Amino acid sequence: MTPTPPPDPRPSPTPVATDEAAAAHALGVHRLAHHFDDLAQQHRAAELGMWAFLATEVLFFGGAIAAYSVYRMTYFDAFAAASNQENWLIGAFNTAALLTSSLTMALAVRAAQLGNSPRVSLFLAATIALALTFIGVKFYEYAHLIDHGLAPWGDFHFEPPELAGGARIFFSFYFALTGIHATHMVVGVGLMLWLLSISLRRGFDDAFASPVEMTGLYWHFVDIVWIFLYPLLYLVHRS
Amino acid sequence: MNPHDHPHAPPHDRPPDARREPLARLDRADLGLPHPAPLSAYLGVYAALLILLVVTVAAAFVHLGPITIVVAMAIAAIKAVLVALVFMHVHGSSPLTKLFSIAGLAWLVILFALTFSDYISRGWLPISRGWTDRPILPPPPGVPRPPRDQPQAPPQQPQEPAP
Repeated sequence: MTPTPPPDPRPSPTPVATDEAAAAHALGVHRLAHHFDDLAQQHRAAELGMWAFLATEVLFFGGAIAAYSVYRMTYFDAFAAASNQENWLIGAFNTAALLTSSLTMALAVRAAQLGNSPRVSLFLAATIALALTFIGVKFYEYAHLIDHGLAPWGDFHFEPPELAGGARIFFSFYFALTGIHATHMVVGVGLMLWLLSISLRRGFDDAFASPVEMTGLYWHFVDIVWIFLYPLLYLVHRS
Repeated sequence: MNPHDHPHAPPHDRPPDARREPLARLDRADLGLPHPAPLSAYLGVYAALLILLVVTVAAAFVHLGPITIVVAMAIAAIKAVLVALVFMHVHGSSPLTKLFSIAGLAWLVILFALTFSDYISRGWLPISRGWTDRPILPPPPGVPRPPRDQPQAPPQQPQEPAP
């Protein structure tokens, strides 16, 4: 004879789908993926996953910046002379453009959270325009440096010649760091174009702003990377 | 809660177009979703970021000597924290998200600490000499290279007066 099992002290599970999710499903909009209990859980999972990804990105850029710092310490004079070949004003302009794009992205996220789709489209378009401005200016800077023989992969010319070796390392870091940063920006522009097409076709409602919010996190991260790269690459030794 | 009871719900006589209309004007707080931050917070942070950009450039043109890089990175860190707290909503997010947002930074600190404990301290101690006559690592500037072949003279002991 088996004893009767004791009553389960745990509370009975709550119904899986909330009213809101049920209403959404009834109308054919699958804002809630089937493996989540409710929209709040889905949002927390998305946010946590995005931050986990951003932690790997911090170490990706951080490792590159650590390598840069070691060489900057070793060849400081050459890095200072090479950095002064950059135009700090153009860099500052680009920094301001990127900071502004971060604001417009934050406003797009806010509009999505308020369910205001026309505003989402407007702010996304503004963010894309500022991002393309940044990338365009970057291309101008690259072309200028390459024209002046400062491309480390080609015929490298630097005055004074005794600093040329260290300067070449500086420009290797300059092109690598700004290149991976610009690649991240191109990815971000692609994400925003995708969001813009959703926003124009169907719109975002306030219960499902997660795609805009997560793209926003990514974009702000790209902004933070540039906040560190600008003084490191343009303002080594200006005084 | 029936979403159609909400005052902003589409009228009942018209079938809602699921592809165009916001379905149910639900309060995000009812769904457990974060509230949008006030507009003033975003605009305030943006103004602070632009001011700090000007400060960054200005500080770079002031002769600060070796602490130039410290000042520049400190300002950049303030800007990054502002972006993370307000634009990225870390302020007011769940404790787990806060932990994840710090995790990458914590490992980055380890990366920098171990890297620079090596590179900065190279040559501090003039003992890293191998089999050759030359030291493996040169001593830092200003520190005389200790002779290898003559053992260092022991410090002169004060002579004890003979009893």
